Amino acid sequence: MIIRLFDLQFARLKRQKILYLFFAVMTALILSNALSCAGGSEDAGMGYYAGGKFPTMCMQSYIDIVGTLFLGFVSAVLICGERANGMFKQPLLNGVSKKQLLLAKTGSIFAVSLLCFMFVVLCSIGTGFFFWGDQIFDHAQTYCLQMGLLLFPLTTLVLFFVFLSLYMSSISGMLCASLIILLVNNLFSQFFGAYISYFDFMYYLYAFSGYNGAELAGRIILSGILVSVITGIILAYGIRIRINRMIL
Amino acid sequence: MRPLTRLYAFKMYRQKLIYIFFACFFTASFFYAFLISTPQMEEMLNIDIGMVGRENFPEFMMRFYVGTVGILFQVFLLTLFICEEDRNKMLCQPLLHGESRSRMMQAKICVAVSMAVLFVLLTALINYTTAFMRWGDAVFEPAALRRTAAKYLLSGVYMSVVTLGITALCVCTRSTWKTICFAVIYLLLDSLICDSSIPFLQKIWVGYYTNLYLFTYEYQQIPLRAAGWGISVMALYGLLFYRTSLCRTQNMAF
Repeated sequence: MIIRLFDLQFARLKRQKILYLFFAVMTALILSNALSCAGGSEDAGMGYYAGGKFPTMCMQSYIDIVGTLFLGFVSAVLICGERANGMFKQPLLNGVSKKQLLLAKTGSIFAVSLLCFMFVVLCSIGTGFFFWGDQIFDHAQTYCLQMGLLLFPLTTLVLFFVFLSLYMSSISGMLCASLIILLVNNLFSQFFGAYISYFDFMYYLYAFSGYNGAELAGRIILSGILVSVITGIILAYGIRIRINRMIL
Repeated sequence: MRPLTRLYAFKMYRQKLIYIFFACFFTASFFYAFLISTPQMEEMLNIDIGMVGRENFPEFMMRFYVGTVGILFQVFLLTLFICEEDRNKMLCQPLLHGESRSRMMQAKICVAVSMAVLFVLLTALINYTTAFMRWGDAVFEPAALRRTAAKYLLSGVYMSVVTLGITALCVCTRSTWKTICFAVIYLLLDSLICDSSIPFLQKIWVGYYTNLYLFTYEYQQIPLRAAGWGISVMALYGLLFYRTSLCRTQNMAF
């Protein structure tokens, strides 16, 4: 049953034009970044990311607001939108439980997040190779590590958006709440990084992508993984409780 | 004020998200005012406090609202106000009580535009309050105050035009996610055009003038010619969006 539900969700996602639009927009953004880097001097800021550091820069611009807000948008469309249209009831009438339905939705949102993230990484490496040739592999070890580590907070972020979507009644409300949360988090990450690193998994979206030139120290890696996993477990528990209490 | 406009205004200002957003904005402004003056922060955020502090602080903080954040916030609120109401069959309710389509849309536009201007003025108030708490009377230096007030007013005009544009989009697409998509495309186009070196395209682009006032004339007086030309272009766009919204409302099938 759950496999069929996954298939259904993926088929629905494949039909979403917004996904293809997102890929087109990200390609344009990466190309524009590459042109700025190629034209900028090292002192002017953009030039610093030319060559081997280019994928890191693209990851940062994806994580900053575009990617995270897009994930919020996908969650809002798949959960808030369908719930508001009464489309949640249909699978339940065919013998699917609420838990299975939400599991399939969470799985498909996670797959979208992974797909978008991989697209950004591969596209940035491809574009970088086109502009700077072999130089793009100079810092391969660093950005591969960043990529692997970013999967932890990204997974927790998906759970967070699913959790938020279960409480919000409309797409606009959900996106507005996501925007506020992301901006507040950005603010706190800038000013109170040392304090919020103990409990805020979103801080690690910035820390792991090397924001403000932050180095990846062993302590940060360990605490980032721990905070993301623990928050993920709490969120999964919260989602379970909400699903049980939810009236469709 | 007409009863319908008052009703829509009450409905809009009951949105808790507005209050949460501005509480967050106040917090951000407060932290920026008090924490960027520390040497570590100055270095980390790559800013010169001598330049962005004191009388220039409200102008520095303006860019955090006028632009991407403010436009996204307006899009989310307006889709809630128009598209979601349309989906819930609430948009046609006034028509059943004797209101005409154009009066209904005019009331919505009136509330949306006044909200856009009010939000810009609110950000000005918040930024001046936090700046006053941090630097005292120094923030009211007359020349800087006049210059910043003019920039806030011009930003208010820009945000009103953007609001009219979003309203037209909501009426044309009648779908929340399509409106949001078009708004994001607008934001990307805006940054591309403003960074491009095609003067003709920039001159006729609605977003270019705000970019000019915020960045090219940063902490400087805006020349009268640039302000006048900017207002004219924005007014033209505003009129176009307003007429489009009213025309499309007439053809809406509820």
